[in-house]
Amino acid sequence: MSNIAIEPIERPAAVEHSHAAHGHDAHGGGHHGPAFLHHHFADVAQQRESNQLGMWVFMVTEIMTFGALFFVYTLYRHLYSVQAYENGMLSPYGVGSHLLNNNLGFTNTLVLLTSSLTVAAAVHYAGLKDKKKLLALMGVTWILGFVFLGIKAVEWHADYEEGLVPGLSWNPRTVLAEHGFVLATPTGVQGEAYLPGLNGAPPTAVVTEGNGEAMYNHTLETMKAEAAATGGAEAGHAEEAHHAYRGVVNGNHMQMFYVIYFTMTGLHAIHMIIGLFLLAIYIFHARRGMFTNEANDQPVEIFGLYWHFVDIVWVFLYPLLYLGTVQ
Amino acid sequence: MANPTEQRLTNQLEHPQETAGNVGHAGSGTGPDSGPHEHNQDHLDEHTHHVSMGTYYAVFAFLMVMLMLTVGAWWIDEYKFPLGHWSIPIAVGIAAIKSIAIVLIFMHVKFSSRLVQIFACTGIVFMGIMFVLTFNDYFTRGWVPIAGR
Repeated sequence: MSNIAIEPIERPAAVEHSHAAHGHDAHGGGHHGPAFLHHHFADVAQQRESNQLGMWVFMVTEIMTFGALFFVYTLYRHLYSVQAYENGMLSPYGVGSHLLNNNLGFTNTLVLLTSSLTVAAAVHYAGLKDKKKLLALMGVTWILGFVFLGIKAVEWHADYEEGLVPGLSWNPRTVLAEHGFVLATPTGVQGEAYLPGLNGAPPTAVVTEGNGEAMYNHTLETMKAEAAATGGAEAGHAEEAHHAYRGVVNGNHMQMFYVIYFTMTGLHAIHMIIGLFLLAIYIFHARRGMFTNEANDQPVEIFGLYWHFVDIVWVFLYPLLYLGTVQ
Repeated sequence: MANPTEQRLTNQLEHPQETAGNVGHAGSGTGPDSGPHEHNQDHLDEHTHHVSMGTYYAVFAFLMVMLMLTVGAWWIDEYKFPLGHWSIPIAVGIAAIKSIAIVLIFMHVKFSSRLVQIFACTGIVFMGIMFVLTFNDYFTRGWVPIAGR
């Protein structure tokens, strides 16, 4: 390939010619090709490759950002599951997943995967200079992204109401009891000032299923009494919702699961918001024909890369956060 | 010859006087603007539309099947028989297959230049290094007694 460079070039003539040409060039500076082609690129294909490469470099840093969070997830899942197993308790990740709304999580996965298809199609039609289809697909993508965030907001609101948000609203005892779980806190399962695996060696009484069950029945009775006090219909409803006793879960460890859950889905949601913001600007540009008049579809393609990346993050988040099982 | 860079270089070899990118020649910024190379650019730059919409639909259908598999595996785990230690590897494995499909087709990495392909792999390689080294630290703590502790 070095053959190209050493091929004889008629330099003086070329320079002279270039001078003459530049005299008439309004842009000057050796401008070449279409207007969107930056002067430091030889041609559109090279600019496209450079843009892609730059976006991939950015996405590598993004992978490392999310990677650190996935590492935290994995580490604590391992440590807490081992501790829970050793102390005869339930995995806090399993219980935490169980309390999340799997239907909403599944719907969101569906919405996001569909939006990935529409973005891929938008890039496709931008390349074909089809302004109408490009605009339609970008619009659909924006709506899907907004629906995703809306569902997320509904989910987070429900979590807040149920007392599952560490720091803001953390009181999961009731919702745990509804699903058949008992919360172990630093004051112990039955106020024994002992929490397995958290504060020192077990005293005389080791937490057994019996202890947890007694606690569970106590919570259940309280709730039934409360429900009866507020109204008969609600009492019947509350009774139906109650699950058979399943086991004890370490409250502090489950709190960590929710910290990780909100951090990861929160960072993902921030990326979605940025994506929607960019997409809104791009829809504005697309309406004026910026991507289709001159075949400058590169911004759409780069945006597509970003959107697909955010989609991939969710592809991993969904099974890891929502599809845990209580064993 | 799906690779745009290779295509450009081949074109440079075959038509050095007309091809953009050769020093002192058309499109290099050091030579005069000429008519033919604009046509060349359009010809070379057919990046985003070598995948047909049919391929995208196929990938989407594949993703949907994989999503059903993920949920199916969870359903078996929760209601039929516990998969135990296998539930996480199965879930992450399916997610990895899904992402590979997205990266290769939706993100065009399959049709990109070799350099972009290498960078696409870099992220996962460095994440692997981070996981391995940091777990090395966490899981070997307390193995070796430290003086003064």
